[in-house]
Amino acid sequence: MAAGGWIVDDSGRFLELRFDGGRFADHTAPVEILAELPVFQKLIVRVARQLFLKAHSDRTRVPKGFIEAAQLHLTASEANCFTAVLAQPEEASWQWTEEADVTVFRTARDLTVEALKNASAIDGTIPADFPYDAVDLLASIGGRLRGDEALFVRGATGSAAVRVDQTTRARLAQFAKQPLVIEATLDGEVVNFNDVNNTFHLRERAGERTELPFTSDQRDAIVEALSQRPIARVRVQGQLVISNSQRRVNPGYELETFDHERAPEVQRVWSRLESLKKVEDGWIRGEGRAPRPLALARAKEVLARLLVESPMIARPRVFPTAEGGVQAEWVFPEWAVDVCFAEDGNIIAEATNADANDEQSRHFAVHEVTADDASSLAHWLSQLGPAETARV
Amino acid sequence: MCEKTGPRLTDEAELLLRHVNPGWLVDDGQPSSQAFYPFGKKDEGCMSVDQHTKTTPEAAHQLFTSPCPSGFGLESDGVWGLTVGEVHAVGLPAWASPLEATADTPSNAAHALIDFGDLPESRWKPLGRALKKKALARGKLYSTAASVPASGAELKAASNIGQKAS
Repeated sequence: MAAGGWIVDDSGRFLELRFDGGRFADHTAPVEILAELPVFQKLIVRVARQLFLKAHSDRTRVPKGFIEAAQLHLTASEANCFTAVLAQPEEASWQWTEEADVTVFRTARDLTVEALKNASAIDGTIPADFPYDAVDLLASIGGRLRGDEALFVRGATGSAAVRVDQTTRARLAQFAKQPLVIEATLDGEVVNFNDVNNTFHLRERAGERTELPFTSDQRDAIVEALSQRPIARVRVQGQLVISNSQRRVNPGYELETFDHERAPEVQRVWSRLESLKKVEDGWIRGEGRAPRPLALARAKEVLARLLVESPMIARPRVFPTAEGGVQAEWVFPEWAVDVCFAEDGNIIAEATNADANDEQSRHFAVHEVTADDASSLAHWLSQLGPAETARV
Repeated sequence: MCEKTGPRLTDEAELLLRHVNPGWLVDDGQPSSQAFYPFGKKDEGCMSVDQHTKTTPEAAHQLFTSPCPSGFGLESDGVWGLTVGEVHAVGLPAWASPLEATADTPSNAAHALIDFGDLPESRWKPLGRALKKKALARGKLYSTAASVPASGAELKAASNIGQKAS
């Protein structure tokens, strides 16, 4: 049906794209999502070209006007989540068509939707007549979707919409033998940076590491975030590329640094540890060794990790020990707890429950509790008292 | 083993006052467990306290911190309390041990000792943790920061906190 110079079906659409979830839940759409629309246009042109050349084996090029005929236009947007309706110029304006070619773009559209549908099935495959050289474009559909978002693509009237989400996209990336590219927001901490190739690594709470390039303008913020880990957090918004379990973010991402919510508590512990550097040998009535550098360093990194990743564990009070170590102390509802950072870097955790005549102790070797992972110490502490009352 | 100059304390409700040196053993107002057990051989296995039946937290603090010879010339962040019952509950005896005046220091009739000496040193730290927890639950009885001594009623209530444990 031709209407107003555009090819539309009975419902007035050539292609319908409905964005759902995440940022679309409040019925608006971020402007960058509009970049999804030209992807469909390029894809349908590429598929249609191959279909046309296959039908006209005597030709090596498409006729003049073919590209223009494939131009899609946004005719409407609807506010149910966010829906874009695309139309195409009507056939009457095409100067190059033969009778058999009139449906080439609709066929390309339907083949594209079928390919997406197949990819969304667990054991799906790309249709055999889908052009191989269009698979990479097919895999780029939904590149601006986030993890909690989906795109529903509907072609012919009455046909079912096909869902494209990150699972679909991962399969499409496999078909295309190319990395999966997704729009992502990463929250984490800087764990290292490299001035030779201008990259740094971001570690998320789940432990995944991602490589990012940095510009000279971003360098200072990244170096500062590294020196203040784990309380300096970094949030990155951009295109995450996943390939063979390697993760990297493309240049041009947005970077923001911010303090972890427990930064003030960690800084108080760090300030106390800094003051303990002034303790001298003989500090306790002429005896007692000053805290050794390794003990102070271990206390700094481990206590920070403990507080940042264990919301229920309160800020401890921190003291030197006569043996050259540093001792963190907590009083839980039932237990009095001392965690001693020894001068050799090992950790001795001891707890007393006098009312129950009970004692607990645990030795943690250096490799068991680290700047990146204090979970075993956190687990040991959490067993000593109700979590909701441990934070005092 | 330290020398005691008085009888063993048996009134479980009696409050014993412990001065905590502000040096490095207090962080943000809280004392370390190390302030609640003797320091090696220097203390001969005993921890000094004052009997509340013979002094007040404020007077004890005054005597402890005043310059010699009218006081002992020592530093104190504040006064914490343990009952004799709490001390007994962790297996330790307490003894009255009044001090006589010397050329440099005054007498202290309220002085007492909690004796760890019958136990190996490896046991002192757990007991220190237990005693610290009891003292923290009761709260600081006198603080130079606050400069407000606890009232008699508050001290009696503070003494009762330890009754269940003892």
